[in-house]
Formats: sequence, structure tokens, C-alpha cells
Amino acid sequence: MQSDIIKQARIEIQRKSALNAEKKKRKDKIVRLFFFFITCICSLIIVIVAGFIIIKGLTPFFKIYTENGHTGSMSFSYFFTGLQFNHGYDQETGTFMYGVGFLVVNTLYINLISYIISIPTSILTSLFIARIAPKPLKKIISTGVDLLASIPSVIFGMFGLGVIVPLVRSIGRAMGLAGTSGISLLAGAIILALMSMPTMISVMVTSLNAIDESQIKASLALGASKTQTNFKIALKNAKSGIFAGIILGIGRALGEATAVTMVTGSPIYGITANPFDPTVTLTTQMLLAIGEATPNSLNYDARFSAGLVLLVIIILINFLLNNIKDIVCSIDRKPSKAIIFLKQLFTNFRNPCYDLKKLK
Amino acid sequence: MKKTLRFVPLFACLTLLASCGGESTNTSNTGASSSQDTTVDFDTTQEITPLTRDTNSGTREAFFGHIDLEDAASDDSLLTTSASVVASNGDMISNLATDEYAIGYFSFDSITSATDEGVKVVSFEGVTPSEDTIVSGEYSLTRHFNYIVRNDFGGDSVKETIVDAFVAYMGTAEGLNIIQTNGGVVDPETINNAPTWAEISANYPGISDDHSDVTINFGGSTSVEEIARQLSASFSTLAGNFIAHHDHTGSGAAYSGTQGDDAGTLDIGFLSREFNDSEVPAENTSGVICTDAVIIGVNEANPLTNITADQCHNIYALDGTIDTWDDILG
Amino acid sequence: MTLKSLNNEAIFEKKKRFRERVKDFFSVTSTYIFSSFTLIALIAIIVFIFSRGYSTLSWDFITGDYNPTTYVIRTDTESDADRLDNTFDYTPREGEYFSSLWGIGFMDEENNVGEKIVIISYVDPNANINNIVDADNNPFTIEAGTTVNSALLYNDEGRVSIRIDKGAQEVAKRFDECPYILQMSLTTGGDGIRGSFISTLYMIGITMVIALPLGISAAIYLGVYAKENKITKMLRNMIDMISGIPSIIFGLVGGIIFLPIVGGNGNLISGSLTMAFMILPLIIKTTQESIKTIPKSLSDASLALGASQTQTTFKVILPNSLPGILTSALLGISRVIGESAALIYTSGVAILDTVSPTQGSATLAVHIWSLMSGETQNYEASCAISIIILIIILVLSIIIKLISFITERKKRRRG
Repeated sequence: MQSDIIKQARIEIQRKSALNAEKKKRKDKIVRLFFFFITCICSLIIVIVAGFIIIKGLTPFFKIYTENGHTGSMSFSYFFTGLQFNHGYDQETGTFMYGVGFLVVNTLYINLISYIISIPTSILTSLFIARIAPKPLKKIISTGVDLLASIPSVIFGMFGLGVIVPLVRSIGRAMGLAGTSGISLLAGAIILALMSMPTMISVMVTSLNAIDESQIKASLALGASKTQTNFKIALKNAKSGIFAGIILGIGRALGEATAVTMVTGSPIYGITANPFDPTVTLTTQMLLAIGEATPNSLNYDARFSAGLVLLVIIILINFLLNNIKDIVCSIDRKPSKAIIFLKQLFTNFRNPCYDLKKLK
Repeated sequence: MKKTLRFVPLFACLTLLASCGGESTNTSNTGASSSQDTTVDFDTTQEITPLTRDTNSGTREAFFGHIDLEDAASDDSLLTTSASVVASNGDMISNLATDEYAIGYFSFDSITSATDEGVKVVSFEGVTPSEDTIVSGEYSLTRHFNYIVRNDFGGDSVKETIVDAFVAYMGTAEGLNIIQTNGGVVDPETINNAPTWAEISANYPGISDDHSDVTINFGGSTSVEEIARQLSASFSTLAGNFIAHHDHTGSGAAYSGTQGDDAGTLDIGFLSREFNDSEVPAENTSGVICTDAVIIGVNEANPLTNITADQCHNIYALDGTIDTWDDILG
Repeated sequence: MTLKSLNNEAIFEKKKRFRERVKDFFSVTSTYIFSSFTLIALIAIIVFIFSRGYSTLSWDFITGDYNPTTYVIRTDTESDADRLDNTFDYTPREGEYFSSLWGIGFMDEENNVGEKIVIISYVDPNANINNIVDADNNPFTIEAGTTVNSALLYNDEGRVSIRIDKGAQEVAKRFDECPYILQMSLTTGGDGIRGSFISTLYMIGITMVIALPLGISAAIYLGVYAKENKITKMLRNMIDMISGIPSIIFGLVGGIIFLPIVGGNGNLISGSLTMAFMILPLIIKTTQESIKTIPKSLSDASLALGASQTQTTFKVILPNSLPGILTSALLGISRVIGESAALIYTSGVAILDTVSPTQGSATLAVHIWSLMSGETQNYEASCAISIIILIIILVLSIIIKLISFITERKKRRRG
């Protein structure tokens, strides 16, 4: 009798625990699905953003707008070749002329100048921080650079207006360009460089700190000076990190709007050739005269088209740079014959005693 | 430790250098920057940089209307390609103060801050702008500041009373005094003969009840913004402390915000130009606040003293014949 | 080896060493020069901001209203109190102009955008201001330090509208001519940032409430539950791509999505939703990193003891990754504080004194933007606000570093 009760109790417990396990499994499944669902929502954000930009950016080409007594949609050809953002209405083709061609050229120009300033500076500064500076100084400068990275862009814009613009103004006057007021493409490029440098430096320092110490020691043991080791071994080993830093910094610089708007002015026309002239880029044009733009007007929608162009440029440049990084940083790939030939040419040119070396 | 000591003097030098750079801009930004460069000779072969407001601005429309460029008021493509857009009167003034080869226009109510910052006022067709010449009509670049109110308050009679009383306040001696203090041009005789608020407040019963939960939305022209803010601040204390919300984006928003496409976003709109053909206000919902003038300004270092309408046209028009300062100054 | 070739080699070696030393020298100097540029820039920014903003920073600045308080006063002609008729024996200070008819001294001053204003600099204890009332007909005492905005006086001959912009001397002269005030408006205070400060706090709060749960859930899924297949890789890539989009595009898209719902120029809620989109990748990545550092043995042990996956997640993994979650929240906060472009589109640029989440209002960064791009550029107030922002960000970074330091120590102790 007792064993029966015990047996029954055991069966009960087993059944209950099986049920419990079932419940737990079901709960697990539900919770798992819940988390999966939320992750999908999060990843849908990019789809939403890209979708809206594409749809709203392409609409002006197809939708008919009525403004100022004229009807039509946006002109396709002027969009890519135009030299003025709002060029009015073309009576012949019946389209509004909004151009972003010149904005693209200006954007690339200002970014190029800022990279010329920021890339060498970041590489050398990160080399300094990681390998040359004594320990206490290293910590201070690292913290300083981190702080710089988190300063909001409006503050950079204000710093630009207060310090960089008068600086560029005095440089321009000293160079003889009498009409410069400091509000210029150069000031914008300097501000962009200042903003992208901390990002670049922190990534580069991390990668320089993580290189293999044995390689360094080996190089020093073989008689190379400290500087040679730094430049030829350390930098080469940290190549992928340096490139990653550059790509990150470039991404930040391309998308910057508020700081650049404050220091580059707002001319209405044309490609800026002289770096001391005011300029207008994709991002600043999107922020300009926001009071004029009421939603669903052509002016407002044209900004989305400009935003679409900006996105395409960013994706293209990222793609290009990632590919270059892969080519440059793959150590096992044999350099192509062309590169070997160029290298030989270069060494021959530099060192007339090359033959003597070969003898050794 | 030795290595650190080696770096300390380097660090100190850098800090000193940087702080010099940071500090020296303190003095050069209080508007006195142009005075450093008056020793630079004015090079008349330089190109003129015409500055203009954006297409939403009533000041732009008033100016272009007087120099035979009405169509360019809403169309940037009819302007010369060397023109640069500024966002407001204040922006215009600070740009004129720092760029010797620029020319621009701004509203008369900013004239004192302009002359303080180093902008020279240019006489138009031989007449120097001043209160007397504007009132008498001698200075021809004048325009009215106008207002327009909502015609449909959706049954909110409290708001309607407050807005009506505000419109009446703008015509009292106190209101005209505030308008005049903030740069509007008012005939002194009008102030002397206008009624006081005490005399007409009886027409608006309940005006001084507690209205601290009522928000009145003001908007429209940025040239009238200062006048509007001061009027609303003073009137608010007389009318139960209602909350005055200002959002000035340009004269174009005045009609559309009160009676046009966005009707209801503004209760009172201000314009620095006349109503154009597509803006027809309902009866008894609009009027004149005061007179104002558009002043043409150049940098202090510029020897220009007088300019004609024809010269302005040729500077700003796309096919204009004047490109460098030589063409004007001879 | 002939003697000549040995000699040649020695010369060649010397030349090579010299060349290398020159190269080294150039490399070293260029390194120092470029690094000092960076340092100079960093120090110059900090010095600029602190030197310009320090004087404006005060408790009143932080807690005061943006719009100044206006008092509209006049002479009370209805009550029985007659206007006093004292005379005064006061020598005005340098730059002060005294009206002997009233006993009030006026001075010219500059406000912090550089505009000239007239303030009441001295009120004599026996001043003839006994019958002044304000708009509600309550007696009003004029105090020194208030700004005179406008004044319409009158005497027996007529009204005199005072041109304040002509300066304190003109004001004092006119006051000497007229014993009665028809209307005068005085202002005190103003230019405070309390409204923007509270909007920033609202923005941070609402953004965190939206972004943290979403981000932590996604991080848990990707770190704990997800199997390494194509779908997971695609999800990871898509989330990474969000961080590459510039903020102004988020502003545009946020405007298109949320403004029609919310109306007008947006409000704090639409701004927070846009910000939540932007900081999601940051939160997901940081939380994922901290989940990764939890040793697998811990969760394995919990599962072995019979806990379900859900229980393990909530009771073992989450509490252990709390420092990482905190770090991600703090990083997100610093991003929210600094963001301006996206918020200009989605929550407006109006600076208000009473803030509610359903009204569009400027945060601190947008406040700086509107100060610097408005009629006149107000460097002092902008720099003061920047100091506040920088201090908050500095404190947040220190807390983040402390958290990671403590976690490292705990981990080392744990072994």
C-alpha cells in the first residue's frame, strides 16, 4: 500500500516536473521570439530611414508641383550638372531646376582638404601617444583626446567662429587676398579636421598599442633606431587599425552639418575654387533657409534628394576605402609585378650605390 | 621620471601658445575687428560682394521692389552669381562689418546697432535716411510694417478679445512709444494725439482678467520681431499675463499662418512689406503699424557715400553692369 | 677585397648613416610638430570656452528664465497721494546721469550681445516715486539695476516719447522735463537657460526610456540566443549600418515621419524618438560587448542547475552585465546632450521658459545653435552653456572609466 502511494506520488512528481519543463520550454520559446522580434524592429530602422530617403528623394522627379505660378516636376539633368540649388523654372522643358552637382564638388573638395590636414596629424599624433610619450603624459593626452571626441559639434562650430575664422582671415590678408572675411572653405576644412581627428586617434592608438612586442624588440635588436622601428615596423603592423580609424573619421566628417554651416557662409552659386571663399556643401544646403521650406513643397523635398545624394556618396566612399584597406593590409598577398617594378625603379632612383649593395 | 621632466617645459610652452590663441580672439570679436583693418587701403579693383536676405524676407522684397528687380525677390536665379545669402538683419550687419568689399541692405530699426558695429550708412539718391526724411517722404526706400490677424478663432472668444485689444494697443500712445523706441518710424505728432490705453481699455471688457493659461502666437517678419516682442511683453502685463510665443521666420509666414494654408498656427502675423496679389486679408483683419525704411550699408573703410537706384539694380541683377568697386567709385 | 672597395664601402656606410640620421630627425620633428598641433587645438578649445563663458556662468543664468520679466509702470493720477517734491544732493558717478526732478540716476551699459542699453543705476532713498503703480494698480518701487526698455512721459504741455537709443544723458534730460509717467517698461533678468536645461533632461529621460529596453533586448538576443547563421549576420550588419548615417539625415527622416503626427515644428517626444533611433547601435554594441565578457561557465552552470534559458538570462546574465548597460546608457546620454542637427528638425528651435513634453522646445545644444546663428552672436552665453555641457560630459566619462576600472578589479579578483 505504502509503496503504491509512493509510486503514485513519484509519478505525480515526474508528471509535474515534465509539465514544468514543458512550460519552461514554452516560456523560453516565447521569450526568445520576443527578443528576436525586437531585434528585427531595431534592424528595420535602417530600412525605414533608407526607404524614406529614397522615396522622398526620388519623388520630386516624378511628382508635379505648383509653385509661384509654375507647374512641373524637378529637372533630372540640371540636378546633376546644376550650379545653383534653386535656379527657378525652365520654361522650355517645364521643370523646376534644382541643382546639387556643385554641392557634390564642394563637399568633396572641403573633405579632401580636411583629410590632408587630419590624416598625417592623426597618424603622427597616435604614434607619439602610443610609442614616444612617457607613461603619465600618455594617460593625460589619451583622456584629453577622448574628451575632444565627445564634444558636441555646435561647440566646435562656435570655436570655429571665434578662433578659426579670425585666424583664416589674418592668414588670407597676409597672403594678399584682401577681400577675405575668414568665413571660408578653409575654415570649414580645419573644423572638420579637428572633429574627425579624435575619432581617428583613439582607434589608431588602440591598434598601435596592440601590436606584437616581439617584432619591435627584434627590430631594435637588429640595430634599427627607435624612429626607424616606429615608422617601419609599428606603423606597418598597425596598418589595418590605422585604416579603420581613417574610415571612421572620414565617415564623421562627411556627415557633419552644424559646425560647418556656422563657418562656411552661404553663397548661392557655383563651385568654390579658392579655399578662402565662402562655400556651400550638401549638408549646409540642407540646413539653410529652413524657414523657407514648408513640408510637401518642392524646396523641402529637394533637400531629401540632396540627402539621398549624400548617402550614396558616403556608401560609395566607405565601399572604396574598405576595398583599399583590404588590398593594402593583406600581408599574404604577393605584391603584383607592377608594384615590384615600381619599387625597383624608385630604389634605383634614390640610391645610386644600389649596385654596390646588391654585390653585398 | 627624467623623460617626463623633459616634456614638461614643452607642454608648458604649448599651453601658453594655445591660451594666447584662445584669449586674443576675445578682443577681436566685439565688433572692433574692422578697426584693426582700417589701415588697409581700400582696393577699388576688388569685386563687389552683394549680400541679400533669403526669399522669405520682406526686407528683400521691399528693397528689390524699389530698384526694379521685383521678380528677383522670390527667385534667386535672377540675382548675380556673386551674391551671398544672410539669414537676418543682424547677420547682414555683422557680415558688412567684417567684409570691406560687401554691400547690403537692412531695416531702419537696426541702424544704431549697425553704426555701432562699424557699418557705414549710404545715402540713397542723395537723401540721408533719418526719422525726418522718412516721415516726410524724402527718403524713398520706405515701406510699411503691417500686421494681419487670424480671421477665424474657432470660437475662442478670449483669444479673440486679447488679439483685438492688442491691435488697438498698437495704436495707443504707449504702443506707438514702444514701436518708436524699437526703431519704427512714427510721427511725434501722432504720439501726442493718440489715445492712451486707459482710455480705450474699457472697450475690451475682461481684458485684465487672469490669462496666464492663454498662449498667443506671434510670427512673421524678422525685421519686426524686436518691436513685436517688446509690444507683447508690455501688453501681456496689462492683459492678464498671457504667454506670448514668438516664432518669426519671415514675412511670407504672416499671411499663410493666420489666414492662408497654415491658418491657425499664428494668431498675429507681422510683415515688413505690403500684401502681394495672392495674399488677400479678410475685412478688418490687417493694417499698418508704422513706417520703416530700408538702409543700404557698406563697410566703414569703403569711401562710397551715395548710391542711386540704377546702380543698385546693376549690382544685384544677373545681367548688371557693375562688378567691381571701380565701376561705382570711378 | 681591394683597399679601394673597402674605402668606398666605409664612405658609403657613413653616408648611409648620415642619411638615416637626417631621415630620423625629420621623422621625429614632424611627429612632435603634428602632435603639438593636436595638443594646441585641444587646449585652445578648452581655454576659449572657459575664458569667454566663465563670467556669464552664475546660478541666475542656470535657473533664470530666458525671457526677461517686464514691468509696465505709470504714475497713478487717480489716487489722492500727491507726488513728492524732494530735492536731492547727490553727485552722480562717472558715466551716470542724474535726474534731479525724480532722484533717479541712469547709466549706459552693454548687454551680453553687445547692444547698448540704459539701466537705472541709482535710486535715491527720498526719490519722488511714491505714486508709481504697475499694470495691476499695485504700488511699485523702482529699484536700481533694472533696464529701461521704453518710456513715455508727459507734462502739462504734452507727451514726450523718450529715445532710449540716444543714451542715458538724453533719458535723464527728458526725465527732468516731465514729472509724470504715462507708461514705462522696465525689465530684469532674462537670458537664463532653465527652460533649455529642463528640455534636455526631458529629452534624455524619454530617449533612455525608449532606447534602453529596445537596445538591451536586441543585445541579449544577439549575444545569448542567436545562432550564427545568415539571418543573424544580416541583422548585425543592418544594425551596424545605422551608426554610419549622418545625424542630419535622421533629422530629415524623423521630421517626415513624426511631424505630421505631432504637428507644428515637432515636440520633445518626436525629438526623443529620433534620438532613440540614433543611439540604438551604440547601446546594442556596448551591451553586447559586456555580455560577451561574462564567462560562459556562469550561464552554463545556471542551465546545468535546471534553470530555464529565460531565468538564466534575467537572473544571471543581466545583473552581471549591469556595468556594461550603465556604460552604454551614459554614452547614449553624452550623445543626446551633444546632438543638434537632428533636433533642429524634429523638436524645433523655440526657447521656452515653461517646458512640457508635448511642446517643441530647444535643448542646450540647439540653444547654442540659435544663439550663434541669430541676429547677433552671443559668445558669452554660448560659451557658458558649453561649459555646462562639457562638465556634464566630463563627469559622465569619469563615471564610465570608474565603472570599467571597478569591473576590471572585480574580474581580476574573481580570477
